[in-house]
Amino acid sequence: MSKQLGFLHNSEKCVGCRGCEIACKNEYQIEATPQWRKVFQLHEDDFSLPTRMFFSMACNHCAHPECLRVCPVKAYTKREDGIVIHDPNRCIGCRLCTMACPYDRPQINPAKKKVEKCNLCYQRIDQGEKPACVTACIPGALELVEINDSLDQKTGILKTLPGLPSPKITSPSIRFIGPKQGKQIRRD
Amino acid sequence: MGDWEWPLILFTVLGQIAIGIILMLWWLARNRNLNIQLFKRGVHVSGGLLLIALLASLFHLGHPEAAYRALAHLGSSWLSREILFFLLTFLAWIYLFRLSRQQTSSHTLGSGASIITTAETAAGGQPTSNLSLGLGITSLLGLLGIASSAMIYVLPRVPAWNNGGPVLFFLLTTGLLGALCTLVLGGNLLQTAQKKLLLQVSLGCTIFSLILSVIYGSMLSASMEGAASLNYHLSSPLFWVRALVSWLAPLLLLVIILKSPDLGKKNLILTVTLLVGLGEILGRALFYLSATGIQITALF
Amino acid sequence: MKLTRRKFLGGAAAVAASSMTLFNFNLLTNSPSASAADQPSEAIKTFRNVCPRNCYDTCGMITYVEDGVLKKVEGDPKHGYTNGKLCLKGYSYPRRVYSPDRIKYPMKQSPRGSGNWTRISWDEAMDTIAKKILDLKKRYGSTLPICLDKYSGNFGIVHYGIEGTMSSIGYTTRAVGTPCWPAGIDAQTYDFGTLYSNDPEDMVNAKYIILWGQNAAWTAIHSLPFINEARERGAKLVVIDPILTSTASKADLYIQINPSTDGALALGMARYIIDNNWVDWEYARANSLGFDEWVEYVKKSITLDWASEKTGVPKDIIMEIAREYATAKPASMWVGYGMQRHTNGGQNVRIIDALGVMTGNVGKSGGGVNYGHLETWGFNYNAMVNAPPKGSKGFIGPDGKEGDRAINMNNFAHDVSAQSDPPVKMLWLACRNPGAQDPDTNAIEKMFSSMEFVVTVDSFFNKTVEMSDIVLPATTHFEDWDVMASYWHYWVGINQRAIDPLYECKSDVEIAIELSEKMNALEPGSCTFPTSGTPEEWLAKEFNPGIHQMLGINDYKELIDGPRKAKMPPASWSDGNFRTPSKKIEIHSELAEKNGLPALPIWVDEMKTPEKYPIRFMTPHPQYALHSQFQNLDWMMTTNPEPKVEIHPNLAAKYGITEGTMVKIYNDLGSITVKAHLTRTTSTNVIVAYEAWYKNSNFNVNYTLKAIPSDMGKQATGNDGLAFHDNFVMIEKA
Repeated sequence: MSKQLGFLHNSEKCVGCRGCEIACKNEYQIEATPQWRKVFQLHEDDFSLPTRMFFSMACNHCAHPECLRVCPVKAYTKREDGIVIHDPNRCIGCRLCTMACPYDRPQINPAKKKVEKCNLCYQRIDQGEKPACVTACIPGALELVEINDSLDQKTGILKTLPGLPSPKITSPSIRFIGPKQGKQIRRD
Repeated sequence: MGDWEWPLILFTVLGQIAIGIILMLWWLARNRNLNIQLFKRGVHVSGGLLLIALLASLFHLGHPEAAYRALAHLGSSWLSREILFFLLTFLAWIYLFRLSRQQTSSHTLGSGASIITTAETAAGGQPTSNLSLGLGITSLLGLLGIASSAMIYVLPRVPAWNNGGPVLFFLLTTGLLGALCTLVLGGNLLQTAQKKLLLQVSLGCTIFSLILSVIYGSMLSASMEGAASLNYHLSSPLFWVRALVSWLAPLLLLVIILKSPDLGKKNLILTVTLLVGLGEILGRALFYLSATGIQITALF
Repeated sequence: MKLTRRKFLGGAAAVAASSMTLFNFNLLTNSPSASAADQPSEAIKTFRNVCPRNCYDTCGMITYVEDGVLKKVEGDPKHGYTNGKLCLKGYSYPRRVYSPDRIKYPMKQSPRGSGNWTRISWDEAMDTIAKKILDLKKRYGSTLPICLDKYSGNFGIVHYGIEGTMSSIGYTTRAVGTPCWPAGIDAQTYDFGTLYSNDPEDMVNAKYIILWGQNAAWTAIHSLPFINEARERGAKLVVIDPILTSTASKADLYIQINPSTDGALALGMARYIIDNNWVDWEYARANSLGFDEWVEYVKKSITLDWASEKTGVPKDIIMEIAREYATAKPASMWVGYGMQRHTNGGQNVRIIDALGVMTGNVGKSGGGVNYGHLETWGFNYNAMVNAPPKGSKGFIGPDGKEGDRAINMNNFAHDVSAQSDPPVKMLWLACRNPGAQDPDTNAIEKMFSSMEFVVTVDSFFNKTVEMSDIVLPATTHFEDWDVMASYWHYWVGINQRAIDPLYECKSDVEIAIELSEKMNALEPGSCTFPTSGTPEEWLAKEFNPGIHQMLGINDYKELIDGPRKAKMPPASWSDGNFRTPSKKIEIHSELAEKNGLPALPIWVDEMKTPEKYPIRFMTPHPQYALHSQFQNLDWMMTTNPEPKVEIHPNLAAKYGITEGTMVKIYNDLGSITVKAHLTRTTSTNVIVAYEAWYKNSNFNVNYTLKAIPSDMGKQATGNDGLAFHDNFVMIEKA
């Protein structure tokens, strides 16, 4: 593998608008379930002050994808650029990947009885475009990046956020810029 | 928390009984004193169970018609390996089935004693060693299949499973239900010593299972998700039924049977077997139901 | 826009095969469809659309259509404000167009409210409606028993054909007003002559930004990049809001103000600015009337201690934001519509206006007291204008003129029932869902049940449709030609017909044409609505030289190449030509005084919390919906499956409420029951539930909402607004 593409999510900028989540559905006209991408709100108790802070997560195109390891039909492949692709044509709906992924991102499509997940818009990437979710992000909180040491050495780049599984399990290809809180004048 | 995975419960438990029976037959055949009727009965019953198990497993799939593709990823998928070993087990079983037909033709007109004795082996020679070899290979492949089944669940994402637990529990089920079912199938065809051995195996497995469960349970609290699995067990009435019917009841009953001079009545052994069977099915259901994966705990 | 797009499914052929396996069973896994489907599609056409919803952002859209089927939507990159991106609601449009729940054919319900719907033909529907209209006209001697309630379901200009439908049958009863923003409109009308905000893209030039009760993250998300750019250039963002919103969570400073006391905070700031002589005397005195009079009032009547006590904001914070706002030039303020939904809401906006004037921030790029504008709405409203049929009898107004009979949209149930000469017997509803959105839902239900006949034009079987006799299936904006302007940004865009109308859906103008044909067949001359013209021709008739000039075009067709931004300066009022009677900013407004309001932006007390109902129930705009639109779609129901009420943990504890408890919220008017979400984003005496219409749910916040008017709105919009946020309730575990 020559490189590893992934997401950089800036929780300082993200307002939890869920544009990415629905833009993903719009791009592929996905059924109501599965949810390839989903926006999560961080628990307000994880902060010194109550707040509405978010992160957005789809498939993390892990360096060590558990879905790929456990899949009996080789529906998963990892491209040279690190994108983990699920091919529904191969899938037989055994759901083992849905049990193995700590992020619950491969999900069953109840109508098709097959698993689906984010393929990082590889067709768009191959044509030089950005993924639909990144294109849709109004505050510019979601970026497509190359995950490498030089990114990880930058200050403020986090490998995880409170409420997320340990990145040790699958080495997800997502990095975060943590949420920042301003001053609050409160009435409680 | 997981779901009621009926196809998987049936597949694993029935598959384990089938292979357990063959394993016991092999073990009984090691001294070349396996009753040929028991051999036949055992092979037929285990084959039937194996077939039902394999069919049941298909219902777990969204697309059973494409199940054959599950063999495609032997390199890293334990599910592929499981399917491979189970198919090989089934092939080996077909060999056993053929042997059982041959045994029928060559021994029905025998001395009336249907025990394969050393003397008979001297006369026939080949069939018995084939039989032992067949049982051995089938058992071995079956055990590899069961171990592979268990390894499917050894997922870093699920702390309750990410250890030796699944393999040990699956093998214990194999031993316990294998021995008990062989006892039921064997009935009077078994020699007293054989009965006693099978009963001792059953008791041993039960005790081991109980001790292992206690150790395992105490280990679970180490992680949040493991603790959730443990809590699920302890707060589920199903778990207490399981504890009663497949630990406490067999412990008592097996000791009583072993202490009785004629090694117990047939009905008592059948009762123990049914109770343990029920308990194991509940245990397996709980295995899936209580599975708690490491997950995103942020709000919706 | 030409596009080659590979289909998603089957792209697997391009995927590099994994070589990590011991055994390769590729024969088993090669799927035959993989390569066949990997053909780029040349058949995709794109169209320009504009989201017509009642929303600040009025987004430019690009619609992708293949074989007549809408495949997806995207933001229009040529739209400088929305900038090629849509919000979650915008991206859900394909699901709205093709929702299985859409109303597909004209249907009748018998009896009304029974749910017993049967499909009827357009002919039968029109025949029934036309005969009813003619019958009422005969019985009462006029068409005044017919009442129209139309508002913001679709703000496309051609949709004013709904009003035109009514005009063309005679004089009718009309729901007049706006529930949304009239108090603020009047405040700015008294002060500046009208509402006219800076170009929101100009916010990048602000050195200090105060969002006053404005949750852009949910209601105007395309403004965020401009705010963020200003922040990157060093601007500070202050959000003043009773609720710690998603926007407030990002602010440099969030102030959880006592609801309805924003004017007190602004007055406190004004006092400190005067005390420190940070006043832009030159600007204020040159451009306004009554400024010194107001300064005297502030000096005499306002103290920081009072302001702090009133607002719950510490004195040092009032001082801090006063100093920063007055000295960071330019500083921008954006007044949200929620802030004026109080009994003193308009007055509070007037005080904030004065704060902007005193610091010289009005008429400045990067400044402004920004609320909204209607500068780009100068269309012909051709579809709206129709002469009444000859011999039509109208309502004689107080001025002696004959015309339509206006009733208050914001007290609709009451006003409809109160009419006696003649009474209202028939309702026509389009672009409006009073069953979900009007205050006092019980009163609405009662009023509807007293009607002889109710016709609703809509796309979904919502609460209002449930109370109708006949429903007519409306097209979505993808099925219509139209043009849309914004009340926030300066862009105007054309809306092409991207797909043919689905099922038997028709636009409001097409419905008017059908009705006109039917009525004239039954009684020649009974309807003046023209019966010719293609949808595109109807659109073309909305343009005039003024619009052409403003947009720099010679023909509406030029808008098909992309939306245009009005040629206006980035800062409103930069020319100093205010539109008040005096042509100056009227800090002292005689018009306000004439209307029974204080002439000056002085403090007017907020509504007192009743003892019996000590908890304020705020019902602001939702994230997943625009009023009763969008939330019912399956994508939204998956991501936001049920309504919740946000309760502060301290308040919840008092009533034994925990996370997920069902809570009954009630007052004298009615009650609703909803699941609790405990959060400290609200305060201990305010609970919050976001208004929306969920699929298969009776959730409706308006069951407890009284039609209490806000202080202003009559001057510019015909009726006072609604004090939606002065709603007080009690709670208990359900």
